[in-house]
Amino acid sequence: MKTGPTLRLRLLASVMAASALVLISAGVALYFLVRVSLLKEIDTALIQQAQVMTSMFEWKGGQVDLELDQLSGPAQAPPHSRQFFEVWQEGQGLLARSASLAGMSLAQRDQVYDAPHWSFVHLASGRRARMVALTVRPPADGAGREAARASTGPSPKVTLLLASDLRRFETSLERLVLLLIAVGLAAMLVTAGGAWWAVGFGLRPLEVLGQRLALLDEGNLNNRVELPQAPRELLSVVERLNQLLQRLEAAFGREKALLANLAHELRTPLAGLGFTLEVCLSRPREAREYIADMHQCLDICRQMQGMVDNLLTMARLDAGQGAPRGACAIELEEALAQVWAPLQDQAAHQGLKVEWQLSPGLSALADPHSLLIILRNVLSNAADYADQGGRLWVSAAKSGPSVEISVTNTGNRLSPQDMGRVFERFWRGDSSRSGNQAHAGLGLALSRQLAEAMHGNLVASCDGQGRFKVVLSLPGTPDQEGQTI
Amino acid sequence: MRLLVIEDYTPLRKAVVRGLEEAGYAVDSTGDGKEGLWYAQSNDYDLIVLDLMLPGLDGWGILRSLRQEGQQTHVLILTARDTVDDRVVGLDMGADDYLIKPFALEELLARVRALLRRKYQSKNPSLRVGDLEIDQVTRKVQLGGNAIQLTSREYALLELLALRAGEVVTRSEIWERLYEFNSQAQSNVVDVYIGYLRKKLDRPGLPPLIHTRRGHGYWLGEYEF
Repeated sequence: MKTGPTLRLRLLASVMAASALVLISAGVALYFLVRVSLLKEIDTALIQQAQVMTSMFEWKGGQVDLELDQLSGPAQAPPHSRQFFEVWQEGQGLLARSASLAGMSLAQRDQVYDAPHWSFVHLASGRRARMVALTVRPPADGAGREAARASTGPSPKVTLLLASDLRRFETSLERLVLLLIAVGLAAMLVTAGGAWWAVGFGLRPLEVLGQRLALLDEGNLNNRVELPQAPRELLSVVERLNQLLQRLEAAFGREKALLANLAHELRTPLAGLGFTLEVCLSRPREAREYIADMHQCLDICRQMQGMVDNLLTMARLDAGQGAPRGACAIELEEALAQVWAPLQDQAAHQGLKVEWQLSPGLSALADPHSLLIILRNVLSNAADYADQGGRLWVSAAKSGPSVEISVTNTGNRLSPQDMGRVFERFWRGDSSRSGNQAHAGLGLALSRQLAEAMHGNLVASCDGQGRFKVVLSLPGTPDQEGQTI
Repeated sequence: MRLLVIEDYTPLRKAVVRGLEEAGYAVDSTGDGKEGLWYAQSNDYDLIVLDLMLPGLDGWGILRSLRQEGQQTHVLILTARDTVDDRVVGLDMGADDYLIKPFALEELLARVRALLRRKYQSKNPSLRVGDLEIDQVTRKVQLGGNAIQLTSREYALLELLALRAGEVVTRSEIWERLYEFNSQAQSNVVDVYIGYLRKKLDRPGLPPLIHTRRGHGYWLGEYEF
C-alpha cells in the first residue's frame, strides 16, 4: 500500500507552519510599529527644529533676515553634517542653503505649503533623508504686520525645507530586522523541539495501540485490545476494534466449525464408498454383484453431491451471490405435487398417512428453483423422520399478504429447546441420524436462507405430542392480496 | 466367530458386514443404538464393531451399559471422530480398539483378528494342534504339511475348535458362533459341517482330530481322553 507522510510529520509540519505564520506576522507588525514610532520621533524633532529656525526669521520691509548666525543647529552644520536645509522665498528663489548639501538642491522651485509637509528625499550621497517643508508668513502683529503693510515688493512667504539624514533610522531598522529574524528562528527551533515532543506524547497511545494490534493474528482472535488510561478519543476506536475482533472471532469460529463438520460429514460416506469398493474388489464376483455395488456407490456419490451442492448454494448466498433470480407467481398445489411424487413410495413403505389441506389456486411469489429446494427439503425431512405408520399434514393457506405452507409430521424426537438449533448448519438431533445419511444437517439451514432471500421465512416448532412442524411464509401474489382485501 | 456390527450408515454397514462375512465370520448388524444394545445384551458375541454416532442411543451409551453390566465382549470402535480426546475417552470407557473412518478392509480384518486372539488368549496368529496348522492371517490350513481347502464356514468352525483345542465346544456354542442371529439354518447344520470337516481332515491310519463327546459337543485334539 502506498503510504503518505507519517502522522508525526503531518502534525509537526502543521504546527511549524502555524508557528511560522504567527511569528512572521508578529515580526512584521513589530517592524512597522517600530518604524512608525521612530519616524514619528524624527518628524517631531524635525518640526521642532524647523519651528525654532523659522522663529528666528526677522521681517524687514519685504525682506527676511534669516538670522542664520544665531542658530546653533543646521546652519552651522559642516558639509558632513546629517542635517540639511534650504530657505526659499516666494518669487525670490533660494535665500539660503546649508553647506552640508554641498550644492545639491532640496527643491526644484519655490513652493508654498499651507501646512507642514513631510517627504523623503535622496541626498547627493545617495542616502535617504526625511524632509519637512514649512512655509511661514510675517507675524500678524508688530514688525510683521508693518512689514506686510509696507510691502510693495516681493511676497513675504518664506519656505524652510529642513531634512535629516535617515542613516541611524535605517540602521536601527536593519538591526531590528536582524533581531527579529534571529528571535524568530530561535522561536521556531524551540517550537519544533516542543512540538516534536508534544506530538510524540500525543501519539503514544496510538503507537501502543499499533503494537497491541500487531500481536493479533488468526490464532489469538479471542484476545481483546486493552489500553489502560487510553485517551477518551481512542476509547471508541478501541471499543469498535474489540467489537470487530469479536465478530472476526465468531466468523473464524464458524468457518472452522463448518470445515470440521464438513470433513466429518464427508468422511462417513467416503468410508462407505471406499469400503464398498474394496470389499467388492476383494474377490472375483458375479456380474449382478458388481452391478449392485455400482448402484450402491452411485447412491453414495449422489448423497455427497447433494451435500456439496447445498454447501455451494449456501456459500454463494453468504457471499451475496446466487440469490434467487426473480420471483414469479407459482401455483403451490402443483409445486407440492411435483416435490411429493418421488417421495410417495417411501411414504407408502413407511405406512404414512398423509393429509393435504390446500387452498385451491393458491400462488406464491417465489423463485421456482429455490422454492422447489425448500419444499423438497421440508417434505423429505418430514417423510424421513416420521415414525413408522405415522402421520403427515401438508397445508397451504393465505395469511394476510403472505401465504403459509406448513408441513407437520409425527415421530418427533426433538425437544422444544432444539427448535432454535434446527436451522444451524450441520446440526442434527440424535434422531435425525437416519440410516442412509441423507441428512447432513444442511437442508433446513439452506432452506431458511433461501426463504429469507425471497423475502419469506421458515420457522420450526414442536409440541408435546411428538409433532414437528415447519412453516414456510412467502409473499403472496398481487391478485391474492386483492382477494384478501 | 460371531460378530455384531452397529453402524447407522447403511452402505458402510452393509459393506462391513459383507467383508466380515466373506472372511468367515457370522455377523449380526443393526443401524440403531437401542437395538444394538439389545442385540449385545441378548447374545454372546466374540466382538462388537461399534459406531459412535447412532440414532436412539449413541456408541458411548452402549459401551457404558455393557461395561456396567459386566460384559467383557471386545469392542472395536469405528468412527469418524479422530481427535486424541475422542480416542482416549473411547478407550477409557472400555473399548478395546479404535478405527477411524475411512479405513481399509485389511486393517479392519487385522484388528478383528487381533482382538479375537486376545479374547482366546493367543498371541500367535498361527494355531497348531498336533500336525494341524491354521494361519489366521492367510486363512490357510495345513495338515501334515499338506494344504487343505476349506469353505468359509468350515474354516470358521475349525478355527473355533482350534482356538479352544482340548476343550469341549457345545453344539449350541458352535451354532451361535457360526450363524447370525436371524439365521434360518437348522441346528443339525453343525453336525453336517463337522461331518464335512472330518472328511477333509481324515487320514487313513492316523487317529482323528475331531472327537465327539456324546450329549455335549465336539473337541479338537490329537488324543481321545
